[in-house]
Amino acid sequence: MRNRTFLPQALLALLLGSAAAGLNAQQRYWYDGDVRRPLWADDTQVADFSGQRGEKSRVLKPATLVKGGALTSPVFRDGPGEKSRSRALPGGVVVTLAPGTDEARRTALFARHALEPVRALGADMWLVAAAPGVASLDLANRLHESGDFRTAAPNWWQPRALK
Amino acid sequence: MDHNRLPSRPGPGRGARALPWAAALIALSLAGCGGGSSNGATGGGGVVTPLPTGLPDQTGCTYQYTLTAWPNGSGVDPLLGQQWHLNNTGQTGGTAGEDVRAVTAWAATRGLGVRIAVVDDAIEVLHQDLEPNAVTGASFSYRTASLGSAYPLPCAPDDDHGTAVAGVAAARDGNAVGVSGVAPRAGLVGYSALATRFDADIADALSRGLADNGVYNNSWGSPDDGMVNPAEATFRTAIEAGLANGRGGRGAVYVFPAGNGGCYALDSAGQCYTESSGLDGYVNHRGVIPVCAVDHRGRWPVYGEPGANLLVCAPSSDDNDAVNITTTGLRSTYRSDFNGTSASVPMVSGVVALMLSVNPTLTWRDVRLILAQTARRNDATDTEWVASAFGPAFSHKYGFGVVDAAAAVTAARTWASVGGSSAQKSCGPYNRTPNRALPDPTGAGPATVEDSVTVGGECTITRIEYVEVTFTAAHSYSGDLRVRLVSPNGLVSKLVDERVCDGGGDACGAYSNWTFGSNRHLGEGTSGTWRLQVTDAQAQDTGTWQSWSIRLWGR
Repeated sequence: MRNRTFLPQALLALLLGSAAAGLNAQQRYWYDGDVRRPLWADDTQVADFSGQRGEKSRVLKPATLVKGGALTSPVFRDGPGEKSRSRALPGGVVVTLAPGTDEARRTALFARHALEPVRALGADMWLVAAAPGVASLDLANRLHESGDFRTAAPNWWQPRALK
Repeated sequence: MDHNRLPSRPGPGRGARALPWAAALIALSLAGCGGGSSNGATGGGGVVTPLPTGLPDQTGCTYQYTLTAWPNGSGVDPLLGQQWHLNNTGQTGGTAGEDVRAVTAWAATRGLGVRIAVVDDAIEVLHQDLEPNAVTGASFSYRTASLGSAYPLPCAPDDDHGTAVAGVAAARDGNAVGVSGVAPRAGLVGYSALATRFDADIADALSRGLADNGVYNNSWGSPDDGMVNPAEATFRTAIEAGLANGRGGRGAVYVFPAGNGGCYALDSAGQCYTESSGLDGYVNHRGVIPVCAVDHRGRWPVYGEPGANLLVCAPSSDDNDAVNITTTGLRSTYRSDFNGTSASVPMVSGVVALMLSVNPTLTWRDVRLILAQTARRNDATDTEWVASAFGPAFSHKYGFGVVDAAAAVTAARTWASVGGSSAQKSCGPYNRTPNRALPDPTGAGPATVEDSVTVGGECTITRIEYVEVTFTAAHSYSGDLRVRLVSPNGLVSKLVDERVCDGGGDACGAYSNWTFGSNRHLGEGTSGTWRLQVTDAQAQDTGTWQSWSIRLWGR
């Protein structure tokens, strides 16, 4: 394998003690539809969702600058590389129900799993409440593995580019 | 060989450089008086509709808004002459005629009765040139402090993207201020889901107002970093639902940018690496229209991304962002610096609105086919153009060419529908597990490994509309791989080229059941042998091509 890091960033990483050193081995996973995807924790950063705007590129902050709190989340990456895509957990889980699930069945399903619906996302997809951080990841995995839902995934924050 | 990237080229930016006369326009707006303004999908000169109350909480924001009654002016929009993308007369030093042919199309329609939903960071629906077309109460704010408000307003100066996009698509014409959109009488709806960038908000916005919205304009996508960037399953679920259920079963039309990843990296030898649009999961779905950019000469800009998935292009900035797009800015100002494929996408959305205006029965598939068949072949001498005996010529730089509003509207009027989602056929996936080694290049050059699948009479598709190739390889540097699909007729889809990415290890990301989309085979039949060719095109690192599958969509 080769290291094709930008030279200026490589120097910066050396000066700062290497950001890559904070990338832990794979510890967790999530379900993207039916695909189980691994996650790598990035301990150098924290996602802070307490800002008035919430949002955009201001979410990720150096871990040393954020004390933690109810509206923070650990940062994960999609791969072992320090530049792989980052993602974080602002709270909430997106569940997909079997097509055509009626209201009574949905209500019973949510009650069985003690879920609080936040809003419908189209016909058979719902956002349900969950605390920010790993609590929402754990809930999503539990719901998916229960077999009661077609899919369950955390409501991820992830970078998207305005083009 | 290490590739050290030089200081990056400034990409298409998002700076809001208000024109000097903006202050005068603000003053004009504040001085305006009268009983409100026209506000609704149907527009209509002289119709006065009271503005709704309930502006969102803008506490902590740079911008505060009040409900301003704009004067109902009438007359030529003063900046229309600068909007070369609507009518290119060579006013910017470009090539006359290199535009979207909007002015000709306006003789037939200006988009009345069709809604364009702009999914973006914020949309200033109170802008003097947007408010007349904004559909009362239909917009939705996702910003945390104003969740649910019908005013997805900007909070800070950098929340300027969606307002610029909205102006390109649907700024009001003939009101004697500012600019005109491509569909200047279409209804405008704003969804600020990119304010949060949460998966749930994206899925929500793409599913909101499905009965009423004709087009969903999305001038956003994955980061242009050369990496494999999958789209989440909730996105795909939302798109599929929109195709099946939008507009009473005719399907929502989703328009996205092909990307700005052209020359995203330079190595120490000065070689430019360009991202393929095939690496952005949001634009590799059959229900999404990927839009590329051309400059004011009708040429490929340096930031352009090639791809077999491209459908059509539309004008935008040139290589140096010296000639850009004039559109709406924040606080009822205007800007002449809008650029990148973000600017091209709303032009296509506007054209789709014009098409749906003259023929509301068009399905999402009809729209794609009309756009492809009526696109104008630009840069005609470019060697990327390849003719097809089964449909229009195709270029991996330009798709089927530059969108042509006049031709598309004319075709839409008499188009015989091919049906919607329920009528679309699919064959496959045909699965293969070659498990073949991918050797490094030798002195004789790179070696190509090929595997094939034969499609027979079990597939009843006679005309292909879309092809999906799902590809898996274990490789210690996936950026080394070049992948091509060759149809039974010998037409080639360039799915991805070799590249380098920033970072160590397999920095470009692994191909693990990665799905490439291709529009290149439009109109072909399915029968015969489809070949996939994989080449390790760069020295160092090797791997194994594990599996692939092909799925064909059509009629």
